[in-house]
Amino acid sequence: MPAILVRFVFVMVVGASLLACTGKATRQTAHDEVPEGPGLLSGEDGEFVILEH
Amino acid sequence: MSIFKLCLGLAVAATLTMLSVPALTQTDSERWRALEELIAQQQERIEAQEELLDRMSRELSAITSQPAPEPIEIPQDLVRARGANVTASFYGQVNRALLFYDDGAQTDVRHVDNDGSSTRIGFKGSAKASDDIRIGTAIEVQFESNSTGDIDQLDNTATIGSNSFTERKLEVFIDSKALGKLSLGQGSTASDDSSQIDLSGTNLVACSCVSDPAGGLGFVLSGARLPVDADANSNPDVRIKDAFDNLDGLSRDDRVRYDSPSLAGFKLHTSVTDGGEWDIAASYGGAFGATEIEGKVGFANDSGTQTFPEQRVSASISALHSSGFNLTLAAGAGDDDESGREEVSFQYGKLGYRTEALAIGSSSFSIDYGEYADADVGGDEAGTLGFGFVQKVSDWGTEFYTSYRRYDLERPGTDFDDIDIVLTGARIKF
Repeated sequence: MPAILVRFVFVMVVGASLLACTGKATRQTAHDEVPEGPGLLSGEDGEFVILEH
Repeated sequence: MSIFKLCLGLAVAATLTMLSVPALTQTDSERWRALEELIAQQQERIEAQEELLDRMSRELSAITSQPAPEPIEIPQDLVRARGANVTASFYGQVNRALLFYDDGAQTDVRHVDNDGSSTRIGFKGSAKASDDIRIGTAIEVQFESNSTGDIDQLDNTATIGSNSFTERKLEVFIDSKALGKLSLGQGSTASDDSSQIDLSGTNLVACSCVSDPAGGLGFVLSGARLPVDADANSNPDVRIKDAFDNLDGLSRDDRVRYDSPSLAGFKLHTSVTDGGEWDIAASYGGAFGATEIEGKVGFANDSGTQTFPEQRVSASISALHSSGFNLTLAAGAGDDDESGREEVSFQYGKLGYRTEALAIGSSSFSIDYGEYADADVGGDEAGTLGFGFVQKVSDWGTEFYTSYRRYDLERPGTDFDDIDIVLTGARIKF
């Protein structure tokens, strides 16, 4: 098994062990995406809602 | 005699009078008749008007006695949807900055678009197919004038870059609460962001993607004036983004991607791209007492389209304590059994502090350090040290930022000058 894949599996195992003592789940943030929250022009929504039914 | 004459005179006068009276009587009679007719006509008109007023009064009474109609509801939407349970919106941001640099030979300032989070607009829409399933689309394009990822010292006379919109997201998706999400089209692959999980608040200017603020700048040989451009293509031979590679998965591509539902904050991801690249990843987001933690690890095989490295693994984890102190770590490695090259790798760490001391929004500070090895050629050792500050103005959807960073590259047999940069600007979300 390539060394790279071994490291990946190792990190996965360590990460999975967090489940044993996991706390409250939070929303995951994505790098370089448009940030959440209000916008300068769009207000609280942070986006211009064209329609919503 | 006189009496007879008098009587005769009287008779003649009377006769004359009687003869003249019919003439006078006929004229006055006509006038009286005309007046009578006129009066009759006026009377008829008055009666007609009275009748009309009476009818109008009755109608008005009938109207006022009815209950008030419901107010007309003006629809809020500018457009209408055919069905229910649909949403559509558009959004965007502008991110502009000044890039000051000193490459060891010269100093200059450029007007740039911060490639860390580029200027863009997007449209997204979705419809609720059932209580469990939602389907939708996303279109997001960026427009970077003088991207920090492209700007260099060799050409400062014209706008650098495509000078047009470039793709970020062009995808469709089906999202099930029970089964997960399936996405098809141009967008983030499963391993995207596996090196860049960051809760510091300064990732706009400082993250393991250390090349974002000035990736286009080229290293200058000690004593030279300009970066080496051996093939005369007006691009430096060794750019910051060549030497500092944070192996962040397969980034964005045309792909089909699957994301599992969240299980106690834990999610699995996988995707296959156009060209045969594929990746798998796992992410986590949770809170332990007063500490929020997020992390991601990804493995990518891009042997289908890229010569080196064939395989890469990267991971990042970030912890934010309620006190505001935070720690971010990232590392990765890439290998290619057939190339014979050294394994490319990086390690990165950042210590930060976030505070809500100002009412306008959070203030974030950080210091970070990273080492990146063998990214461009075997034997390369690149290092970077940076300081970052981001001030958020929440009500304006705005972040003001400034950062300093030093890049150094050591290559056997070559002596490059260090590059110092200061990036100062603002990102406004509209």
